Amino acid sequence: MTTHLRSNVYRSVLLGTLLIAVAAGSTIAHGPDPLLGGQLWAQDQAVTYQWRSNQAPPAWMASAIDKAAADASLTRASRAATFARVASGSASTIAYGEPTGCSSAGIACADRSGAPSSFKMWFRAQNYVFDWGALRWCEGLATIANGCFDAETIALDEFGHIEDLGHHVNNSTNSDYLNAVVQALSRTRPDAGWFAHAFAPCDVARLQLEYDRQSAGARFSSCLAIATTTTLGASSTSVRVGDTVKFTATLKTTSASANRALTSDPISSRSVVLQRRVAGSTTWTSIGAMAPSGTTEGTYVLTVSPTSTYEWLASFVPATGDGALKSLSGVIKVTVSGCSGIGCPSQVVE
Amino acid sequence: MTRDLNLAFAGPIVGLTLLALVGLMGCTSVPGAEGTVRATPTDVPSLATVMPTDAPSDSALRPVAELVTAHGAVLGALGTYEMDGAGSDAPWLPFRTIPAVEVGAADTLAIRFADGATIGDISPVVAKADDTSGAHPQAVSLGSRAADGLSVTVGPLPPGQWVLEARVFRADGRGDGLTYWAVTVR
Repeated sequence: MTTHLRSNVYRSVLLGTLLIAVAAGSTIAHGPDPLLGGQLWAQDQAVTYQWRSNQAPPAWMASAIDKAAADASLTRASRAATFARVASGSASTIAYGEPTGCSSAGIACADRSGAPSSFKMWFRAQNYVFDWGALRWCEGLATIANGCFDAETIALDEFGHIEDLGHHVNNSTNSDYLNAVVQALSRTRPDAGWFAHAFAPCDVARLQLEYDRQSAGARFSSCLAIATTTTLGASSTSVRVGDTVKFTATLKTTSASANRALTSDPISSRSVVLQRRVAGSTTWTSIGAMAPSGTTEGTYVLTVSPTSTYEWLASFVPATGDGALKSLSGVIKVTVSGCSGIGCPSQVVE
Repeated sequence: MTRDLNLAFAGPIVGLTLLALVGLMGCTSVPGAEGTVRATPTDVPSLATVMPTDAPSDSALRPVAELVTAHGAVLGALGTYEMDGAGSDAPWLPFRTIPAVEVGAADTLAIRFADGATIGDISPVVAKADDTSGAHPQAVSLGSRAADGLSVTVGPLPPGQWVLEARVFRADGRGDGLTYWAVTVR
Protein backbone atom coordinates (compact mmCIF):
# COMPACT_ATOMS: atom_id res chain seq x y z
CA MET A 1 0.00 0.00 0.00
CA THR A 2 2.73 2.39 0.92
CA THR A 3 4.49 1.79 -2.33
CA HIS A 4 1.31 2.34 -4.27
CA LEU A 5 0.54 5.49 -2.35
CA ARG A 6 3.97 6.90 -3.05
CA SER A 7 3.62 5.94 -6.64
CA ASN A 8 0.28 7.69 -6.89
CA VAL A 9 1.61 10.77 -5.16
CA TYR A 10 4.57 10.78 -7.48
CA ARG A 11 2.29 10.41 -10.46
CA SER A 12 0.11 13.25 -9.23
CA VAL A 13 3.07 15.53 -8.74
CA LEU A 14 4.50 14.56 -12.10
CA LEU A 15 1.19 15.09 -13.83
CA GLY A 16 0.76 18.43 -12.12
CA THR A 17 4.22 19.45 -13.10
CA LEU A 18 3.68 18.40 -16.68
CA LEU A 19 0.48 20.40 -16.79
CA ILE A 20 2.32 23.43 -15.49
CA ALA A 21 4.97 22.90 -18.10
CA VAL A 22 2.38 22.72 -20.82
CA ALA A 23 0.52 25.74 -19.53
CA ALA A 24 3.62 27.87 -19.28
CA GLY A 25 5.43 26.36 -22.21
CA SER A 26 6.63 28.15 -25.26
CA THR A 27 3.97 29.00 -27.77
CA ILE A 28 6.44 29.93 -30.47
CA ALA A 29 6.69 27.41 -33.22
CA HIS A 30 8.15 26.76 -36.60
CA GLY A 31 6.64 28.91 -39.30
CA PRO A 32 7.30 32.05 -41.31
CA ASP A 33 9.98 34.34 -39.92
CA PRO A 34 8.50 36.83 -37.48
CA LEU A 35 8.39 40.50 -38.33
CA LEU A 36 11.32 42.60 -37.20
CA GLY A 37 9.21 45.73 -36.88
CA GLY A 38 8.71 49.11 -38.45
CA GLN A 39 7.22 50.18 -41.75
CA LEU A 40 7.37 48.05 -44.83
CA TRP A 41 9.01 49.15 -48.02
CA ALA A 42 6.68 49.68 -50.96
CA GLN A 43 6.10 46.64 -53.14
CA ASP A 44 9.06 46.15 -55.46
CA GLN A 45 10.69 49.30 -54.11
CA ALA A 46 14.20 49.66 -55.53
CA VAL A 47 16.32 50.54 -52.52
CA THR A 48 19.85 51.78 -53.02
CA TYR A 49 22.77 51.86 -50.61
CA GLN A 50 26.28 53.19 -50.55
CA TRP A 51 29.34 52.60 -48.43
CA ARG A 52 29.49 54.70 -45.33
CA SER A 53 32.07 57.45 -45.56
CA ASN A 54 35.49 56.24 -44.37
CA GLN A 55 34.12 52.74 -43.78
CA ALA A 56 34.08 51.23 -47.24
CA PRO A 57 34.80 47.50 -47.14
CA PRO A 58 37.79 45.86 -48.80
CA ALA A 59 37.09 44.48 -52.26
CA TRP A 60 36.38 40.91 -51.12
CA MET A 61 33.81 42.13 -48.59
CA ALA A 62 32.28 44.62 -51.00
CA SER A 63 31.79 41.81 -53.48
CA ALA A 64 30.16 39.60 -50.86
CA ILE A 65 27.77 42.33 -49.75
CA ASP A 66 26.81 43.24 -53.31
CA LYS A 67 26.25 39.59 -54.12
CA ALA A 68 24.02 39.25 -51.08
CA ALA A 69 21.99 42.25 -52.24
CA ALA A 70 21.53 40.48 -55.56
CA ASP A 71 20.69 37.23 -53.77
CA ALA A 72 17.97 39.00 -51.82
CA SER A 73 16.54 40.59 -54.92
CA LEU A 74 16.63 37.43 -57.02
CA THR A 75 15.29 34.99 -54.44
CA ARG A 76 12.66 37.09 -52.65
CA ALA A 77 9.87 35.25 -54.57
CA SER A 78 7.64 38.11 -53.61
CA ARG A 79 7.22 41.82 -54.20
CA ALA A 80 9.62 42.73 -51.43
CA ALA A 81 12.15 45.49 -51.95
CA THR A 82 15.22 45.03 -54.11
CA PHE A 83 18.69 46.31 -53.28
CA ALA A 84 21.49 47.73 -55.37
CA ARG A 85 24.58 49.76 -54.55
CA VAL A 86 25.19 53.21 -55.95
CA ALA A 87 28.31 55.33 -55.71
CA SER A 88 26.62 58.24 -53.98
CA GLY A 89 23.34 59.92 -53.29
CA SER A 90 21.74 57.11 -51.32
CA ALA A 91 20.18 57.63 -47.93
CA SER A 92 21.16 54.10 -46.88
CA THR A 93 24.66 53.16 -45.80
CA ILE A 94 26.65 50.03 -45.17
CA ALA A 95 29.78 50.20 -43.06
CA TYR A 96 32.74 47.92 -42.52
CA GLY A 97 34.81 48.16 -39.38
CA GLU A 98 34.51 50.40 -36.37
CA PRO A 99 32.43 52.11 -35.29
CA THR A 100 29.43 49.83 -35.62
CA GLY A 101 25.97 49.73 -34.15
CA CYS A 102 26.43 46.09 -33.18
CA SER A 103 26.31 44.69 -29.67
CA SER A 104 29.60 43.60 -28.13
CA ALA A 105 29.13 40.06 -29.42
CA GLY A 106 27.72 41.03 -32.79
CA ILE A 107 29.52 40.29 -36.04
CA ALA A 108 27.00 42.26 -38.11
CA CYS A 109 23.92 44.30 -37.46
CA ALA A 110 21.22 46.27 -39.16
CA ASP A 111 18.76 49.05 -38.52
CA ARG A 112 15.63 49.41 -40.63
CA SER A 113 13.92 52.01 -38.46
CA GLY A 114 14.34 54.47 -41.33
CA ALA A 115 12.24 52.37 -43.70
CA PRO A 116 10.76 53.05 -46.18
CA SER A 117 13.34 55.79 -46.74
CA SER A 118 16.63 54.34 -45.57
CA PHE A 119 18.48 51.64 -43.67
CA LYS A 120 21.85 51.09 -42.05
CA MET A 121 24.03 48.02 -41.90
CA TRP A 122 27.36 47.28 -40.25
CA PHE A 123 29.94 44.51 -40.47
CA ARG A 124 32.78 43.92 -38.04
CA ALA A 125 36.20 43.93 -39.65
CA GLN A 126 38.28 40.87 -40.40
CA ASN A 127 40.23 39.76 -37.31
CA TYR A 128 38.12 41.82 -34.90
CA VAL A 129 38.71 40.29 -31.50
CA PHE A 130 35.70 39.21 -29.46
CA ASP A 131 35.65 37.52 -26.07
CA TRP A 132 34.95 34.32 -27.97
CA GLY A 133 37.78 34.74 -30.47
CA ALA A 134 38.89 36.58 -33.58
CA LEU A 135 36.42 37.11 -36.41
CA ARG A 136 37.22 35.35 -39.64
CA TRP A 137 35.27 36.14 -42.81
CA CYS A 138 35.73 33.26 -45.25
CA GLU A 139 36.00 35.50 -48.28
CA GLY A 140 38.85 37.41 -46.68
CA LEU A 141 41.02 34.37 -46.07
CA ALA A 142 43.82 33.49 -48.44
CA THR A 143 42.92 29.86 -47.84
CA ILE A 144 39.44 29.08 -46.64
CA ALA A 145 39.30 27.25 -43.33
CA ASN A 146 36.74 25.92 -40.95
CA GLY A 147 35.42 28.32 -38.35
CA CYS A 148 34.98 31.24 -40.72
CA PHE A 149 31.73 33.08 -41.45
CA ASP A 150 30.56 33.34 -45.05
CA ALA A 151 30.13 37.07 -45.51
CA GLU A 152 27.61 36.69 -48.32
CA THR A 153 25.43 34.50 -46.12
CA ILE A 154 25.60 36.89 -43.19
CA ALA A 155 24.92 39.85 -45.47
CA LEU A 156 21.87 38.07 -46.90
CA ASP A 157 20.65 37.61 -43.33
CA GLU A 158 21.11 41.36 -42.83
CA PHE A 159 19.24 42.22 -46.03
CA GLY A 160 16.49 39.96 -44.75
CA HIS A 161 16.32 42.13 -41.65
CA ILE A 162 16.14 45.21 -43.84
CA GLU A 163 13.15 43.67 -45.62
CA ASP A 164 11.53 43.33 -42.17
CA LEU A 165 12.39 39.72 -41.35
CA GLY A 166 13.01 38.81 -37.75
CA HIS A 167 15.02 35.78 -36.72
CA HIS A 168 13.34 32.52 -37.58
CA VAL A 169 12.02 30.55 -34.63
CA ASN A 170 13.33 27.03 -35.04
CA ASN A 171 11.88 23.95 -33.45
CA SER A 172 13.50 22.62 -30.30
CA THR A 173 15.98 20.45 -32.16
CA ASN A 174 16.99 23.10 -34.71
CA SER A 175 16.26 20.49 -37.35
CA ASP A 176 14.55 23.17 -39.41
CA TYR A 177 17.53 25.53 -39.36
CA LEU A 178 17.87 25.36 -43.14
CA ASN A 179 14.30 26.56 -43.60
CA ALA A 180 15.47 30.12 -43.02
CA VAL A 181 18.56 32.18 -43.67
CA VAL A 182 17.55 34.84 -41.20
CA GLN A 183 18.64 32.97 -38.11
CA ALA A 184 19.36 34.03 -34.57
CA LEU A 185 22.56 32.02 -34.48
CA SER A 186 25.12 32.62 -37.20
CA ARG A 187 26.94 29.43 -38.13
CA THR A 188 30.49 28.95 -39.30
CA ARG A 189 31.99 26.68 -41.89
CA PRO A 190 31.33 23.74 -42.11
CA ASP A 191 28.19 23.61 -39.95
CA ALA A 192 24.94 23.12 -41.87
CA GLY A 193 23.60 26.47 -42.99
CA TRP A 194 26.92 28.33 -42.97
CA PHE A 195 26.64 28.87 -46.74
CA ALA A 196 23.27 30.13 -47.99
CA HIS A 197 22.97 32.46 -50.94
CA ALA A 198 19.20 32.38 -51.39
CA PHE A 199 16.31 33.10 -49.10
CA ALA A 200 14.85 29.88 -47.68
CA PRO A 201 11.15 28.93 -47.53
CA CYS A 202 10.34 30.50 -44.18
CA ASP A 203 12.07 33.75 -45.17
CA VAL A 204 10.06 33.81 -48.39
CA ALA A 205 6.91 32.96 -46.48
CA ARG A 206 7.10 36.15 -44.46
CA LEU A 207 8.05 38.18 -47.52
CA GLN A 208 5.00 36.85 -49.35
CA LEU A 209 2.76 37.53 -46.37
CA GLU A 210 3.92 41.13 -46.20
CA TYR A 211 4.64 42.02 -49.82
CA ASP A 212 2.50 39.53 -51.79
CA ARG A 213 3.60 37.13 -54.50
CA GLN A 214 5.05 38.31 -57.77
CA SER A 215 2.14 36.96 -59.83
CA ALA A 216 -1.15 35.14 -59.46
CA GLY A 217 0.49 32.00 -60.80
CA ALA A 218 3.45 32.04 -58.43
CA ARG A 219 3.69 29.32 -55.85
CA PHE A 220 3.22 29.99 -52.18
CA SER A 221 6.19 29.29 -49.98
CA SER A 222 6.19 25.76 -48.63
CA CYS A 223 6.51 27.31 -45.17
CA LEU A 224 2.97 28.62 -45.52
CA ALA A 225 -0.41 26.94 -45.24
CA ILE A 226 -2.63 29.43 -47.00
CA ALA A 227 -6.30 28.64 -46.90
CA THR A 228 -8.00 28.81 -50.27
CA THR A 229 -11.52 28.95 -51.50
CA THR A 230 -12.86 27.44 -54.70
CA THR A 231 -16.19 28.45 -56.16
CA LEU A 232 -18.04 26.94 -59.08
CA GLY A 233 -20.64 28.36 -61.39
CA ALA A 234 -22.52 26.86 -64.36
CA SER A 235 -23.82 28.59 -67.45
CA SER A 236 -27.09 26.78 -66.89
CA THR A 237 -28.47 24.44 -64.28
CA SER A 238 -31.23 23.02 -66.44
CA VAL A 239 -30.43 21.75 -69.94
CA ARG A 240 -31.59 19.26 -72.52
CA VAL A 241 -29.50 16.39 -73.74
CA GLY A 242 -27.02 17.63 -76.29
CA ASP A 243 -26.75 21.05 -74.74
CA THR A 244 -23.50 22.18 -73.29
CA VAL A 245 -22.81 23.62 -69.88
CA LYS A 246 -19.84 25.84 -69.24
CA PHE A 247 -18.50 25.43 -65.74
CA THR A 248 -16.40 28.26 -64.37
CA ALA A 249 -14.35 27.88 -61.19
CA THR A 250 -12.57 30.58 -59.32
CA LEU A 251 -9.68 29.88 -57.01
CA LYS A 252 -8.33 32.39 -54.55
CA THR A 253 -6.96 32.71 -51.06
CA THR A 254 -9.42 33.27 -48.27
CA SER A 255 -10.06 36.69 -46.89
CA ALA A 256 -8.66 35.73 -43.51
CA SER A 257 -6.61 38.49 -41.93
CA ALA A 258 -3.88 35.96 -41.23
CA ASN A 259 -3.22 35.85 -44.96
CA ARG A 260 -2.13 39.50 -44.77
CA ALA A 261 -0.98 40.68 -48.21
CA LEU A 262 -2.09 37.39 -49.69
CA THR A 263 -5.70 37.95 -48.70
CA SER A 264 -8.25 37.22 -51.46
CA ASP A 265 -5.49 36.74 -54.05
CA PRO A 266 -6.55 34.99 -57.24
CA ILE A 267 -4.54 31.81 -57.76
CA SER A 268 -3.62 30.87 -61.32
CA SER A 269 -1.64 28.08 -62.95
CA ARG A 270 -3.00 25.40 -60.67
CA SER A 271 -4.74 22.09 -61.19
CA VAL A 272 -8.48 22.46 -60.72
CA VAL A 273 -10.54 19.40 -61.51
CA LEU A 274 -14.24 19.23 -62.29
CA GLN A 275 -16.00 16.32 -60.60
CA ARG A 276 -19.51 14.94 -60.70
CA ARG A 277 -21.69 12.43 -58.94
CA VAL A 278 -25.14 11.02 -59.26
CA ALA A 279 -27.44 12.97 -57.02
CA GLY A 280 -27.46 11.38 -53.61
CA SER A 281 -24.31 9.37 -54.20
CA THR A 282 -21.17 9.85 -52.14
CA THR A 283 -18.74 8.87 -54.88
CA TRP A 284 -17.25 11.64 -56.98
CA THR A 285 -15.80 11.03 -60.43
CA SER A 286 -13.25 13.32 -62.00
CA ILE A 287 -14.44 14.56 -65.39
CA GLY A 288 -11.51 16.65 -66.44
CA ALA A 289 -8.98 19.32 -65.62
CA MET A 290 -10.38 22.80 -65.89
CA ALA A 291 -8.36 25.08 -68.13
CA PRO A 292 -7.19 28.56 -67.16
CA SER A 293 -9.60 31.11 -68.58
CA GLY A 294 -6.79 33.06 -70.20
CA THR A 295 -8.41 36.36 -69.37
CA THR A 296 -9.10 36.39 -65.67
CA GLU A 297 -6.53 35.35 -63.06
CA GLY A 298 -7.64 32.53 -60.82
CA THR A 299 -10.42 31.43 -63.16
CA TYR A 300 -10.73 27.98 -64.72
CA VAL A 301 -13.29 26.71 -67.21
CA LEU A 302 -14.56 23.47 -68.66
CA THR A 303 -17.50 22.93 -70.96
CA VAL A 304 -19.31 19.61 -70.94
CA SER A 305 -22.38 18.07 -72.50
CA PRO A 306 -24.04 16.18 -69.67
CA THR A 307 -26.27 13.24 -70.46
CA SER A 308 -27.95 12.92 -67.15
CA THR A 309 -28.64 14.89 -64.06
CA TYR A 310 -25.56 15.18 -61.91
CA GLU A 311 -24.15 17.16 -59.04
CA TRP A 312 -20.89 18.97 -59.80
CA LEU A 313 -18.02 20.49 -57.91
CA ALA A 314 -14.53 21.84 -58.54
CA SER A 315 -11.59 20.47 -56.60
CA PHE A 316 -8.27 22.18 -56.03
CA VAL A 317 -5.43 20.04 -54.73
CA PRO A 318 -2.10 21.87 -54.44
CA ALA A 319 1.04 20.39 -55.90
CA THR A 320 3.77 19.21 -53.58
CA GLY A 321 5.71 22.18 -52.27
CA ASP A 322 2.93 24.68 -52.86
CA GLY A 323 2.00 26.30 -49.56
CA ALA A 324 -1.69 26.54 -50.37
CA LEU A 325 -4.34 24.32 -48.84
CA LYS A 326 -6.80 22.11 -50.68
CA SER A 327 -10.32 23.40 -51.21
CA LEU A 328 -13.54 22.19 -52.76
CA SER A 329 -16.31 24.28 -54.21
CA GLY A 330 -19.92 24.02 -53.26
CA VAL A 331 -22.07 21.55 -55.15
CA ILE A 332 -24.11 22.56 -58.19
CA LYS A 333 -26.89 20.36 -59.52
CA VAL A 334 -27.44 20.46 -63.28
CA THR A 335 -30.70 18.88 -64.33
CA VAL A 336 -30.74 17.20 -67.75
CA SER A 337 -33.95 16.37 -69.55
CA GLY A 338 -34.79 14.74 -72.87
CA CYS A 339 -32.49 11.78 -72.83
CA SER A 340 -30.70 9.81 -70.19
CA GLY A 341 -28.83 6.58 -69.81
CA ILE A 342 -27.10 4.39 -72.36
CA GLY A 343 -27.06 5.76 -75.87
CA CYS A 344 -27.15 9.38 -74.94
CA PRO A 345 -24.13 11.48 -75.91
CA SER A 346 -21.60 12.02 -73.18
CA GLN A 347 -18.43 13.92 -73.82
CA VAL A 348 -16.34 16.81 -72.76
CA VAL A 349 -16.79 19.47 -75.43
CA GLU A 350 -13.69 21.49 -74.63
CA MET B 1 18.43 13.75 -33.87
CA THR B 2 16.82 14.12 -30.49
CA ARG B 3 18.20 16.78 -28.28
CA ASP B 4 15.53 17.00 -25.61
CA LEU B 5 16.84 16.24 -22.19
CA ASN B 6 13.39 15.68 -20.76
CA LEU B 7 14.63 17.27 -17.62
CA ALA B 8 12.52 16.37 -14.65
CA PHE B 9 11.02 18.96 -12.39
CA ALA B 10 11.76 18.87 -8.73
CA GLY B 11 8.16 19.75 -8.16
CA PRO B 12 5.93 22.76 -7.96
CA ILE B 13 6.99 23.67 -4.45
CA VAL B 14 10.47 24.64 -5.54
CA GLY B 15 9.09 26.65 -8.39
CA LEU B 16 6.58 28.47 -6.23
CA THR B 17 9.23 29.24 -3.66
CA LEU B 18 11.50 30.63 -6.30
CA LEU B 19 8.71 32.65 -7.84
CA ALA B 20 8.03 34.21 -4.48
CA LEU B 21 11.71 35.04 -4.22
CA VAL B 22 11.68 36.58 -7.66
CA GLY B 23 8.73 38.68 -6.74
CA LEU B 24 10.42 39.92 -3.61
CA MET B 25 13.56 40.86 -5.47
CA GLY B 26 11.72 42.92 -8.02
CA CYS B 27 13.77 44.03 -11.00
CA THR B 28 17.02 44.95 -9.32
CA SER B 29 20.00 42.91 -10.35
CA VAL B 30 21.63 41.29 -7.37
CA PRO B 31 25.28 40.53 -8.00
CA GLY B 32 26.43 37.12 -6.99
CA ALA B 33 28.26 38.26 -3.90
CA GLU B 34 26.85 35.63 -1.63
CA GLY B 35 26.16 31.96 -1.66
CA THR B 36 27.16 30.02 -4.73
CA VAL B 37 26.12 32.52 -7.36
CA ARG B 38 28.96 34.38 -8.92
CA ALA B 39 29.35 36.49 -11.98
CA THR B 40 32.47 37.56 -13.77
CA PRO B 41 32.11 41.34 -13.90
CA THR B 42 34.18 41.80 -17.03
CA ASP B 43 31.94 39.42 -18.94
CA VAL B 44 28.75 41.19 -18.06
CA PRO B 45 27.56 43.50 -20.83
CA SER B 46 26.49 46.96 -19.88
CA LEU B 47 22.98 48.09 -20.60
CA ALA B 48 24.31 51.56 -21.23
CA THR B 49 27.01 50.67 -23.70
CA VAL B 50 28.27 53.77 -25.46
CA MET B 51 27.33 53.53 -29.10
CA PRO B 52 28.51 55.41 -32.15
CA THR B 53 26.38 58.27 -33.36
CA ASP B 54 24.73 56.25 -36.10
CA ALA B 55 23.94 53.27 -33.92
CA PRO B 56 20.47 51.75 -34.05
CA SER B 57 17.86 53.95 -32.52
CA ASP B 58 17.23 53.49 -28.83
CA SER B 59 20.32 51.30 -28.74
CA ALA B 60 20.66 51.51 -24.97
CA LEU B 61 17.50 49.46 -24.60
CA ARG B 62 18.43 45.89 -25.35
CA PRO B 63 16.56 42.71 -24.47
CA VAL B 64 19.14 41.19 -22.15
CA ALA B 65 17.99 38.83 -19.41
CA GLU B 66 18.94 37.92 -15.88
CA LEU B 67 19.13 34.48 -14.35
CA VAL B 68 17.67 34.38 -10.89
CA THR B 69 18.57 31.74 -8.35
CA ALA B 70 17.94 31.50 -4.65
CA HIS B 71 21.14 33.47 -4.15
CA GLY B 72 20.59 36.37 -6.47
CA ALA B 73 20.37 37.47 -10.06
CA VAL B 74 23.11 37.38 -12.69
CA LEU B 75 22.98 39.51 -15.79
CA GLY B 76 23.71 37.35 -18.79
CA ALA B 77 25.74 38.07 -21.91
CA LEU B 78 23.62 39.29 -24.78
CA GLY B 79 24.24 37.62 -28.12
CA THR B 80 21.91 38.08 -31.04
CA TYR B 81 19.01 40.40 -30.47
CA GLU B 82 16.41 42.44 -32.31
CA MET B 83 14.59 45.44 -31.00
CA ASP B 84 12.43 48.14 -32.57
CA GLY B 85 13.44 47.36 -36.11
CA ALA B 86 17.14 46.99 -35.42
CA GLY B 87 19.28 44.13 -34.31
CA SER B 88 22.65 42.50 -34.03
CA ASP B 89 23.72 39.02 -35.11
CA ALA B 90 26.14 36.92 -33.13
CA PRO B 91 27.26 33.33 -32.93
CA TRP B 92 26.81 31.01 -29.96
CA LEU B 93 28.73 32.39 -27.00
CA PRO B 94 31.02 29.77 -25.48
CA PHE B 95 31.23 28.82 -21.83
CA ARG B 96 34.47 30.55 -20.95
CA THR B 97 33.33 33.97 -22.14
CA ILE B 98 30.03 34.44 -20.37
CA PRO B 99 28.82 35.17 -16.83
CA ALA B 100 29.15 32.18 -14.54
CA VAL B 101 26.50 30.82 -12.21
CA GLU B 102 26.73 27.88 -9.82
CA VAL B 103 23.59 26.15 -8.66
CA GLY B 104 22.52 22.99 -6.95
CA ALA B 105 21.17 20.02 -8.84
CA ALA B 106 17.66 20.51 -7.51
CA ASP B 107 17.53 24.23 -8.06
CA THR B 108 15.00 25.72 -10.35
CA LEU B 109 16.09 28.86 -12.11
CA ALA B 110 14.10 31.87 -13.18
CA ILE B 111 14.72 34.13 -16.13
CA ARG B 112 13.56 37.71 -16.44
CA PHE B 113 14.38 40.77 -18.49
CA ALA B 114 16.91 43.06 -16.88
CA ASP B 115 14.75 46.09 -17.62
CA GLY B 116 11.66 44.55 -16.06
CA ALA B 117 9.79 44.07 -19.33
CA THR B 118 7.03 41.49 -19.40
CA ILE B 119 8.00 38.23 -21.05
CA GLY B 120 5.94 37.23 -24.03
CA ASP B 121 7.64 33.96 -24.76
CA ILE B 122 10.84 32.14 -23.98
CA SER B 123 12.86 29.39 -25.58
CA PRO B 124 15.74 28.10 -23.43
CA VAL B 125 18.32 25.50 -24.45
CA VAL B 126 21.55 24.21 -22.97
CA ALA B 127 24.68 22.82 -24.52
CA LYS B 128 27.61 21.18 -22.84
CA ALA B 129 30.42 23.51 -21.87
CA ASP B 130 32.78 21.94 -24.38
CA ASP B 131 30.31 22.50 -27.24
CA THR B 132 31.82 25.82 -28.23
CA SER B 133 29.50 26.46 -31.16
CA GLY B 134 26.25 25.27 -29.65
CA ALA B 135 26.05 22.62 -32.31
CA HIS B 136 24.15 20.25 -30.04
CA PRO B 137 21.60 22.21 -28.02
CA GLN B 138 19.15 20.43 -25.83
CA ALA B 139 15.74 21.77 -24.87
CA VAL B 140 15.24 22.82 -21.29
CA SER B 141 11.98 22.25 -19.51
CA LEU B 142 9.94 25.34 -18.87
CA GLY B 143 8.31 25.79 -15.53
CA SER B 144 5.77 28.29 -14.41
CA ARG B 145 5.31 31.87 -15.42
CA ALA B 146 5.01 34.47 -12.69
CA ALA B 147 1.55 35.92 -12.40
CA ASP B 148 2.85 39.33 -13.42
CA GLY B 149 4.58 37.85 -16.46
CA LEU B 150 7.96 39.18 -15.41
CA SER B 151 9.73 35.84 -15.02
CA VAL B 152 9.58 32.22 -16.08
CA THR B 153 11.18 29.29 -14.32
CA VAL B 154 13.34 26.80 -16.16
CA GLY B 155 15.05 23.56 -15.27
CA PRO B 156 16.40 22.25 -13.01
CA LEU B 157 19.47 21.32 -15.04
CA PRO B 158 21.34 18.07 -14.62
CA PRO B 159 24.76 18.11 -12.94
CA GLY B 160 27.59 19.34 -15.09
CA GLN B 161 28.76 22.44 -16.85
CA TRP B 162 26.39 24.01 -19.33
CA VAL B 163 25.92 27.01 -21.50
CA LEU B 164 22.36 28.12 -20.91
CA GLU B 165 20.94 30.15 -23.77
CA ALA B 166 17.52 31.71 -23.47
CA ARG B 167 15.77 33.46 -26.31
CA VAL B 168 13.35 35.72 -24.53
CA PHE B 169 10.65 37.66 -26.32
CA ARG B 170 9.12 40.84 -24.99
CA ALA B 171 5.38 40.68 -24.53
CA ASP B 172 4.95 44.04 -26.22
CA GLY B 173 6.39 42.62 -29.43
CA ARG B 174 9.25 45.11 -29.57
CA GLY B 175 11.92 42.45 -29.80
CA ASP B 176 13.78 39.54 -28.34
CA GLY B 177 17.29 38.58 -27.40
CA LEU B 178 19.48 35.57 -26.80
CA THR B 179 21.14 35.73 -23.41
CA TYR B 180 23.85 33.35 -22.20
CA TRP B 181 25.13 32.07 -18.88
CA ALA B 182 27.81 29.54 -17.97
CA VAL B 183 25.98 27.34 -15.49
CA THR B 184 27.73 24.85 -13.27
CA VAL B 185 25.33 22.45 -11.62
CA ARG B 186 26.79 20.68 -8.58
